[in-house]
Amino acid sequence: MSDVTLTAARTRTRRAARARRRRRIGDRLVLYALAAIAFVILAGPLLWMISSALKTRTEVLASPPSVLPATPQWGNFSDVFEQVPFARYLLNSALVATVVTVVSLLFHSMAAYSLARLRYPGRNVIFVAILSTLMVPFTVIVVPLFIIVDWLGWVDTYWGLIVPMIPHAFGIFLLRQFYLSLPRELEEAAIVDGASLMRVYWSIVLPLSRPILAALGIFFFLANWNNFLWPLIVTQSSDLWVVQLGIQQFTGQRASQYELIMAASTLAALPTLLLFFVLQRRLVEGIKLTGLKG
Amino acid sequence: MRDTMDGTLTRRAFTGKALAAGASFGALGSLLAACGGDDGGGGSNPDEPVTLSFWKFVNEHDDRAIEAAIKRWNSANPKVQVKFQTFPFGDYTGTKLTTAFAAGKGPDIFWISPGAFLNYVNNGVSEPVDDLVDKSAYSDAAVSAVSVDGKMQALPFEQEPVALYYRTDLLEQAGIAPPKDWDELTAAAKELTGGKQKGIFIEVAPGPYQNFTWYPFLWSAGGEVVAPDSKSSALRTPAAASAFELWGSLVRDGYAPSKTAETTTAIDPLARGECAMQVCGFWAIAHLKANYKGAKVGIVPLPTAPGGEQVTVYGGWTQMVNSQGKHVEQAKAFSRGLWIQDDQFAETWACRNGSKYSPRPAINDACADVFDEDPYSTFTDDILPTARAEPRYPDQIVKAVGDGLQAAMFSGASGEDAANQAADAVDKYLSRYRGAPLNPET
Amino acid sequence: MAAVPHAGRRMRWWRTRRGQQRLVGYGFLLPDIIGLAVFVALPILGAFYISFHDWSGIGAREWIGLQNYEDLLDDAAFRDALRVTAIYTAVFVPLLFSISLALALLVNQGLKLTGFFRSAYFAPFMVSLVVSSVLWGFMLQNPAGVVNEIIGLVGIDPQPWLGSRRFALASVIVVTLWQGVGYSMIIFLAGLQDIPRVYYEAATIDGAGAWKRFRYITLPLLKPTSLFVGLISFIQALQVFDPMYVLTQGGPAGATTTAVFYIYETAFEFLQLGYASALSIVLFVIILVFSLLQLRVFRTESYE
Repeated sequence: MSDVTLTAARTRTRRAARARRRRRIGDRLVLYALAAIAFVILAGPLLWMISSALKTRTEVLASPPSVLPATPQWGNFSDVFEQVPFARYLLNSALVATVVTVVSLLFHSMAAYSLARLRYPGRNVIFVAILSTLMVPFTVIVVPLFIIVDWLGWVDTYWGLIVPMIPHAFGIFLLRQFYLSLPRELEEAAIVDGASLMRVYWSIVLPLSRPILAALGIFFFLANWNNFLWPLIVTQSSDLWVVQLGIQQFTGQRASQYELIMAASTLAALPTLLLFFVLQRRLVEGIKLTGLKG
Repeated sequence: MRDTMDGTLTRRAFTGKALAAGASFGALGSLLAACGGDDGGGGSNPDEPVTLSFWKFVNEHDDRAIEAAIKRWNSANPKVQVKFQTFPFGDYTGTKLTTAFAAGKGPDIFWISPGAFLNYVNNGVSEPVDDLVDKSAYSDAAVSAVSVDGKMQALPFEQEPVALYYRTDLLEQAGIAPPKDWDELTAAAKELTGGKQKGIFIEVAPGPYQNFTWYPFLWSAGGEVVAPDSKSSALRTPAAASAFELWGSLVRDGYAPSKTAETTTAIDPLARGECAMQVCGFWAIAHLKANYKGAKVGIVPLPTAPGGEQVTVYGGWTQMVNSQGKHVEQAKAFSRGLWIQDDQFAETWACRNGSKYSPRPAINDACADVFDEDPYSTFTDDILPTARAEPRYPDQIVKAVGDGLQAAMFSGASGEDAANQAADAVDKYLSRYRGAPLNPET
Repeated sequence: MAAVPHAGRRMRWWRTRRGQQRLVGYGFLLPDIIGLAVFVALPILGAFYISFHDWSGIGAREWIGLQNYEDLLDDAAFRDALRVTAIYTAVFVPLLFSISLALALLVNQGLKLTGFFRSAYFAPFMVSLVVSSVLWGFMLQNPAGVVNEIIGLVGIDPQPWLGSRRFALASVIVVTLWQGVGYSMIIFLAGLQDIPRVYYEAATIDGAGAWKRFRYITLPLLKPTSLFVGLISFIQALQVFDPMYVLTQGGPAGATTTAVFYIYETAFEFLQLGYASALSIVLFVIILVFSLLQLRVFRTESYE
C-alpha cells in the first residue's frame, strides 16, 4: 500500500472513531438529561414535602407556595413526638413490618418454587385460585376478616396486626414469574447429582433469588409500614398503633396540622429509605451464569 | 442420629423439629398476646370494676379537656372506669364504627354525627337517654333533633351555628357593605374576585359539610329537602331551584373556587386573604383568636333569599349509648356524669376550652362573660336564635342533594335541573326507606 | 431416576420422583394456602354470603336472596363507576408499564450516580398513597399551586386540576403513576439482571444496534416479568381507591368515582354492606375474566 492511501485510510478510521465517540457522548448526554428530568418529576415533590415539614402551618398552605421556609421550624419534628406517641408507633410499625416481611418471604418463595418448578395435579388451578384472591378489594373483605380475627381472639393484639397480613398472592405471583425465568441448568445438574428437591430449593434456588427477594422484601416492608386501614380496624387502643395511624391523628375535624403531617411523613419515610439504601446493591446483583456449562 | 437420609428429613427429625417450632411459636404467641390491648373486664359480678369504652374522633385541642374530665370521673368512680379512645376523623363513622359494630364489638359510649344518627337508631343501637335529662333545661330544637317516638336517642351537648365571615378591610377597600341578601352577595362576590383572591369561599367538595352549609340558603328561600311527612322529597320547587342556582353560579362564574386545599371548616383561607368572604361556623372565632390575632374579620348572618327569612343551621355531634353494650346502666351514668352533673365540664366545653353553644340555656348564661362579648355577641344575639338543627338525613339523601350541587357547580346544570335530579334521587331512596322519620319531631 | 431402590423393600411412594414432586409441591404450598384460606378466601366467601343479605353492619342481617344482584343491574351509578374505572385502567396500565421499563433501562445503563438515581426514582413509593395524595393535593392547587406556577412560567394559564371534571381523573392518574413507577422499575431491574450479558455481547458482535438488541433480546427475555407488571398493575388499577378518597371524594360530579370508591361509599356511608358485597362480587368476576384472558394471551412457561 502506498503511503498516501495508508494515511488516507488512517484518517478515515480516526474520523470515524471521533464520530463514534461524539455519538456516544451525545447519547450519554441525552441519557443524563432524561435521568435529570425523571429526577425532578419523581423526587421533586418529596423535596417539597421535606421543605413543608420545616414550614409553619400558614406557610404550608400559602398560595402562592414558597419553595423554602422562611425559618426552618425544626420544632415541627419534636412536636410530632410530643403530640402523639410517635416513637411507639414507629416501633410498632417496625415490629409488624419486619415480622411480616421475613415470614412472607420464606412462605412465598416456597409456594412460588412449587408452582414454577414442580408438577402435580391441579397446579394451574391452584395458581389461578391464588391469583384471584387479589381481585377482591380489601374494602369488602375487611368486615368478614375482622369477624374472623375477632373469633380467633386477636382483636387489639399484635397477632391480629401481623398474621392476616402474611398471606399475599402478590409475592407468590412475582416469585413464580421469576422462577419461571431462571434457566434450569443449575437445578437439573444438582438433581442429576442426587440432590433432593428441598435441597435444590434451599441451596440453589434461594440464593439465586436474592435480587427478587430483595425487591419483594422492600415491597412487603413498605406495604406494611404504610398500612393504614387494617391497623385502624383491628386495634382498639392506641398502644398498638402504627405510623400511618399516627400521621392521620394530625388531620382534624376542622383544620389539619399539615406541617406536622409532612414532618411525620418525612420521619416515617426515613427508615424505609435506609432499608432501600442497604438493600439496593442486592437488587442489581447479576446472576453469574458465565460459570455454567451449556 | 443423622437428620437426613438422601437429603430428606426423616420422619422423627421432622416431627421433632415441628414440635420444637410449635413450642417456641406458642411461647411467642402468649408473649404477643400479653402485649395486646386490654379487653375490659367486668363480668356478671356487679361489684367487679367495669371498664367502659368511650370513642370519638380526634380533635387535639378538645380531647385534652375531655381527658381531664374523664380523669376526674375515674378517680371518683373506681368501679366504673372509662377508657377513652379517639380515631382519625375521616374514618371514624365510616369504617371504624361500622366494622366494630358489625363484629359485635361496638363501644359503650360514642359520639355520633347527625348524618349517622338515624342509621344507628333504626338499627336499634341507641339507648334512650330521657331519664338522664331534664328536658325543660334543654332548648326545644336540640331535644326534637334527637327524639324518635318521643324518646331522646342521644344526648346533645353542642350547637355551632353557621354565618358569613368577611374581611372588613377588603370590603372597605372596595367600598362594599356586608351583603344582606343573595343579590348583594353575588354582586359583592363578583366585585371582590380578582387576581388570586376569590370573592367567597363555599364548600365545593361533596359530603355532609357541603350540605350542612347549604341548607340555610335552601331554607331561607322557603325550600325543604324532605316533605313534612318525611315520605317524599320537597325539592321540586322554585325555591330549591334558586338555592341550587345560587351556589352553582358562584362556582361556575368563578367567584368561588372549584377546589380548596382544605375543607372550608378552616377559616384560615379568609385570614390569609385567599377570599374576601367565607361561610363558616361558630368554631372559627376561637381559631382566629388563637392563630390570627390581628385579623380584620367581621361576622354577619347568612344573606337571605329574595323575600326570604333569616335562618341558619347549627351543627353538633351527640353522645349515644350503645344499647347492645354489656354495661348500659354504667354507660348512661357516665354520660350523665360528664355532661350534666359535672357542670365544670359543660361550661368548659361551651366557652372555656373553645366556643360551642350548649343546648342548655343555663350554661350559655353562665358563659355570658364570653358570649356577650364581641365578636361572639353577633352570634348570640342575631344568629343563634334563628338556627335550625342540622338535619338528620342519612347519607343517601346527603348524596342526592350533593350530586345536585355538584351538577350545578361542575356540569353546567341549571338550578331547576339540579333540584329535579336531587328530588328524583331522594324520592327513590324514600320509597324504600323504612325507619324513623327524617324530620325532627315537633 | 433419583430414587435408589432398597434391596428387599418396596419403594415408598414419596421416594419416587413423582411422589417427591407431589410431596414437596403440596407441602411447600401449605403455609401460604392455609394463610390465604383463613384470611383471604374465607372473608371473600363471607362477603359472598353477605351479598345475599340486607345488612347495615350495625343491625341485623336479613336474607333477601338475589335481590341485591337484581338491583345492581339497574344501577346506573355503578355503571358510571365502572366506566370511570375502565378509563382509568386503560390509561394507567400502559403508561406505568412503559415509564417504569424506560426508567429501568435508563438506570441500567451504567451512568454515573446510578445508585443515586435509582433511590430517587424509588423514593415516591416510600411515602404512602394517602400522604402522596395530600402532597399532590397541595401541588395541584388552583390558582396558585406549584404545578400551576411552573406551567405559568411557559405561559400556560392555571388550570383547575382537581376542580374540573375534565382534569380530575387525569390528575389522579398522575398521582398514582408518580407513586408507582418506582416500584415497577425495581421489578424490571431485577428482571433485567437475569439476562446474561453474553447474549448482548454476542449480538453486538453480530452488529445489532441498541433497538434491535432491545427488541430481540430484552423484550422476549423479560416476558415473565412483563406479564407480572402488566397483570398486577391491571388488577390494582381496577381497584384504585385511596387517591380518590383523599383528593376528590369521588368528585367533581362523579368524575373520579371508581368502582371501589362506589363500593366503599355503599358499604360505609350508606351502610349497605349486602349490596356493597354484591357489587364487589361482580367486580371480582370482571377482574377475573379479564385477567384470565391476559394470562392466556401472554402465556409463558419457562423458556428454553
